[in-house]
Amino acid sequence: MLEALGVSRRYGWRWALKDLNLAVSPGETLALLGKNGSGKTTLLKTLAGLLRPTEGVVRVSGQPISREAKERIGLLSHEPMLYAGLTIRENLNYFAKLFGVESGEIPGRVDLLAKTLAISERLDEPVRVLSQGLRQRAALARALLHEPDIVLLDEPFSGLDPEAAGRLESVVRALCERRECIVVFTTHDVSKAFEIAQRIAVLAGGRLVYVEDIENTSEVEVLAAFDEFTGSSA
Amino acid sequence: MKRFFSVLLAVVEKDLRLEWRTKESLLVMVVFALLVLTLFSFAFGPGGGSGENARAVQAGVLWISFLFACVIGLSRTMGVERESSGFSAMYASPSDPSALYLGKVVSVAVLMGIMELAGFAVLAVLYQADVWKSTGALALVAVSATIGIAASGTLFSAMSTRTRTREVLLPVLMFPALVPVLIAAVKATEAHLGGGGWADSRDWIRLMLVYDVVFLVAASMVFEYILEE
Repeated sequence: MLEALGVSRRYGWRWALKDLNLAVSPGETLALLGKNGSGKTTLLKTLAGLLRPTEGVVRVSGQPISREAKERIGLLSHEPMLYAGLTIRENLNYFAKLFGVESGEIPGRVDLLAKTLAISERLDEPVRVLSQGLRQRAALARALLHEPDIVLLDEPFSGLDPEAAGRLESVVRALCERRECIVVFTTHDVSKAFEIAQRIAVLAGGRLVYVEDIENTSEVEVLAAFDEFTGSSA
Repeated sequence: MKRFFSVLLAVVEKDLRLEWRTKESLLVMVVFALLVLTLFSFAFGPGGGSGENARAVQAGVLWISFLFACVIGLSRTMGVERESSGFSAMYASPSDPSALYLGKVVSVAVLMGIMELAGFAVLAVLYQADVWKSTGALALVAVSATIGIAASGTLFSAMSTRTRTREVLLPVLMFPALVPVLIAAVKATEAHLGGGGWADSRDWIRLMLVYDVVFLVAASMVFEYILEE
């Protein structure tokens, strides 16, 4: 279980998150919707333990987030977190060691992920020469390399062509189908959220203003909630 | 412990590989240090003056040039981490922050070591300094000082790298903290350039080693908070 209990986060005088409560169960996929500046990225980074909440606590399996818990979390953020001067393989090898993957297992995992994400032929090219889509796939490989059971994806489909987005979507779907795997992703695309997620949450002004299971809501209802709380359409 | 060293070595390998590809930091550090040494040799004249004073000038110019060059090198090294969100990635990982910190210190120290080799060679040529007579002792002085400079430089550059005024902030934070190391390195180097024995530099080297240990331990403990966004 991944929980945010009374989480608030302040940047200077501005509250990016305010008294936010959220719980995601194992095997569940949650889509976070919200317009720019609504706090989606801050929430994901806080859930990943990258940002410390100003108030409240994030818990993984009932325990406050710790270094050990980070072994179970994979984060794909806006920044690819890859070194442009290194090849994809060198980046993946480096991050695998940081996440404690056994040396003997690294080549196999890298090859498998590269195959899944269709980057096998580009593994030995420096990240700086890759397109946005390839970088995004390489970044996803980095996030999944240590086989996390909590996967946090910040707008994973943005800036991708339909083919790359489709490939990434199938990887995310496969993750969602993995038992006991928690997937939280942010998006502006309500249709995509309905295609992939089991639950939808709308963030506005750093607060969760709407949370509902897909089964109990519709795109129209979510869009209406989006309009009501954010003052614009998704 | 195995995991600690695996992470430490991974950071060193990554940093040196990046440096080998671009040679951005090392080249700038070496060129800058040599330029400062050359300019001071013009200012003070051949040998940096005469007699006892010459050795003090040589040692002072040498370590000041290393210190300035190190600031430039650190800015570039940390620039790579900033552009790649490397610190965020480190913080998102379950790695021991002290292993990450010590890995960065080793990388910086290796680059400084290469720069210092070039610096001592230039000192021997331009200042006619007798660096060959006490190579072992000077190496020990250089290692002790380099660890201290790399330890504080890594900490302060990591602190300042996310600020807008990082270029100014780094020397402002780093130089005052390095005063003990600078004084000790200059005095110990001066003693050995003058043909002095261990007795002349022993206390200065001890001072640097104590500084190194204190700084490495303290910085390892706080590095986690510096990595945090």
